[in-house]
Amino acid sequence: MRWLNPWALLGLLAVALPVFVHLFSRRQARVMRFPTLQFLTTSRLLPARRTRLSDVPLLALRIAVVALAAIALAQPTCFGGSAAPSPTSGIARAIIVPADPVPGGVSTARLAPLEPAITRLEDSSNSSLRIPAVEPREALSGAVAWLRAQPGLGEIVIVGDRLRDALDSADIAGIPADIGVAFRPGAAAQGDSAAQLMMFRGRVVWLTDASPAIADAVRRSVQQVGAGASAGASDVRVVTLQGEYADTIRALTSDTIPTIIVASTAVGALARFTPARRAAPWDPWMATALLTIAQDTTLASTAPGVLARTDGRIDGRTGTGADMRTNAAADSIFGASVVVLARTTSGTPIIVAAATRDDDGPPQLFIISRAPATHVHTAALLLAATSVFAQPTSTASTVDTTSSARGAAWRALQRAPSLRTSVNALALVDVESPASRGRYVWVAVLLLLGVEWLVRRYSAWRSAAATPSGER
Amino acid sequence: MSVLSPAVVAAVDDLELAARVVVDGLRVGGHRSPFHGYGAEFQQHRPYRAGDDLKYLDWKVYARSNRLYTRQFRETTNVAVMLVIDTSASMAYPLATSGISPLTKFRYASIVAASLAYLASEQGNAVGLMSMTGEAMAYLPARSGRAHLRALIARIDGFVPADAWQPGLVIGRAAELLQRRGLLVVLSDFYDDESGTQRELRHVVQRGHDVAMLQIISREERELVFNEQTELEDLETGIRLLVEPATAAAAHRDAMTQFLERCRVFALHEGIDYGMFDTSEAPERALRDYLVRRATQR
Repeated sequence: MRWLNPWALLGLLAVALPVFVHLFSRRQARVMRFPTLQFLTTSRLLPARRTRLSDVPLLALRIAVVALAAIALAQPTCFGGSAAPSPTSGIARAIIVPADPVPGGVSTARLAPLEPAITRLEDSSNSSLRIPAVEPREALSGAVAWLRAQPGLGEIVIVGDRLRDALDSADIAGIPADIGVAFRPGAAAQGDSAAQLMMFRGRVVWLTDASPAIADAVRRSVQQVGAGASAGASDVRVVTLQGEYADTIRALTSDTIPTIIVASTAVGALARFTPARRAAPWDPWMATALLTIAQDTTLASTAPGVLARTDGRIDGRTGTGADMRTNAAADSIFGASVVVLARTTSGTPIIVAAATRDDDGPPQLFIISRAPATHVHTAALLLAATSVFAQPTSTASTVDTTSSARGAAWRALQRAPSLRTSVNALALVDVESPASRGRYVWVAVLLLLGVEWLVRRYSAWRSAAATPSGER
Repeated sequence: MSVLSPAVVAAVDDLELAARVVVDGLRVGGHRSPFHGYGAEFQQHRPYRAGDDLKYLDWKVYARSNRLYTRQFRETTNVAVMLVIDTSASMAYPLATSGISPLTKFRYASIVAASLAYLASEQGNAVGLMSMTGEAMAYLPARSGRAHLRALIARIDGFVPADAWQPGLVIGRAAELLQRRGLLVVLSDFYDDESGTQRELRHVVQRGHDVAMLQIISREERELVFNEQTELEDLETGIRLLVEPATAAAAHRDAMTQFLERCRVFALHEGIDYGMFDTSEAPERALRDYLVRRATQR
């Protein structure tokens, strides 16, 4: 038994409440109208405070209700005896770092800015191996061999733009499906390769009001499938929201990096926030992003039967900025420009996108999931959002479209196995799926409340029957 | 003889009809109305004939002359009956929800008053009405006749018990407006202004009027019919009092008994005709008992 929200167990202290109530409560005196009080004197009242508990069965029920509610709030999780490797056992990472062309030497000068990130990666891994490589293709086979020897999940992290550029889709396809691939971009100053120019850089922010434990689980899901670094997105940030949403979002998006903000429907304040920034020019990259997310197979596969294909205009890949605008005008949910990315089979929009841009601020794309978010679904949505930044955005004017063989390979890479790999990894991660137990406890709470009501009615009926109205 | 239960009488919505039902009930059995005493003045003697009620045989004449004479009465219309009805809020009890008696004291009083009016009117007497609604007096002069009776019963039916009343004032005014000697019937619980009421009733007796006190009480107020702590709200003043029946019931019963006894003794002492009506009794039976007792007292 583990608690997702252990602080809520403090709520168990609230069982003192019914005890106090049963100790100190006096039944509210009935008010009766009477012809005259002249023959009555003030009565000596029975003591208000009691030394013994009244109605012990009722008290027990009420204590049970309070205690169960506290337990349900704490969200208990039970790990079944699943054979699947538990994500808590960590992940093995083979980290391929660029080496100097001089054999054996690691390019320390170029790695220095990346060192904290690599260290962090190593720390968060169960076991890790750093492989300096000049030619990553050769390092890959060694990494796979090493990961095979490790228990649990495995991931290959390729650090630096030069190594990434040296790979093509065939290399990625050669990696077994159960091993994730992640790319960690090089230092920002190194804008030297054509492929890097073609990657549209942006940022994905996940706004959530889920508990930190759930947020952490999702973040790990994303990390384990390597999506956080695989695409051009510089980072995935998880922001657990409390308090003022608007300020948080403004602080996150104060620079000029295009941002996709993924939010669950529970972040209700977005509904208030979005229309206030209505001036929403649809950038070409947004159009591309919407197409990518709408057609993402990973996302569709995480919620089978729920997601239906969305509007033809997105499906038809006619996504120019102008098209999106038309589409947006037709479908307005919050009063802002909104594009529906996915609907349920009954037609209810469940993933919608809203574009915003301040007068001089960065373009932002809100992806708002209105579906009850499971971990897998959320992680898949994040993956889809991050993969947006791996798109060669040919329509974006800031992107150098000069083609090269590597660039073509990268274009193919968006269909490469890394995302398909992630479905497997997600399935493994979802073993942890912690949300469900609290639900049963809530059901028990409701049942007990019903029983409590019945008992209360019964005792009221009994005390009513005890009054001598039937005396004659 | 079938006795109409309070529930049946209560179910009769029309007050006039209720009064007639009650009065008809009084007549069952074929004997003459026990209300005979009202408005009947001695007229003459006539020789006794077999079948005459022995009650009217003049024993004194028999003793003197050894002859049997029956006293004969002349029904007169010049005796005026003035009904005084208490419309204070305390009469609006017991409330319909509390269970035992289906009639409020006020409804009970209305039925008794209407029945008396009916009886008196049928025998040719003039009947009047005096009460107090709010600050104003409600007065109907004593007259005879069916139309007047109807108006009077309709007037009684229109009363709604509310607020307090000033019994001394109403009784005094009723007696003033009663021409010559008459019968003043007060229907009330006599809770309000006990000494004032008694003083005024005494004055009325001293003026030579015949006075009847019909005290109407429900069982719910004589005994506290609840067994848990209850806050009682005075119907007239709205004052609330928290009452624990375990400790208060006995004292209340004693005080209530004393009060009723005080009323009875006062009436006896002043030569006032006194009748106590319990709302859980059938009004018809209670009224008959009262009238029979009254007739035998004379």
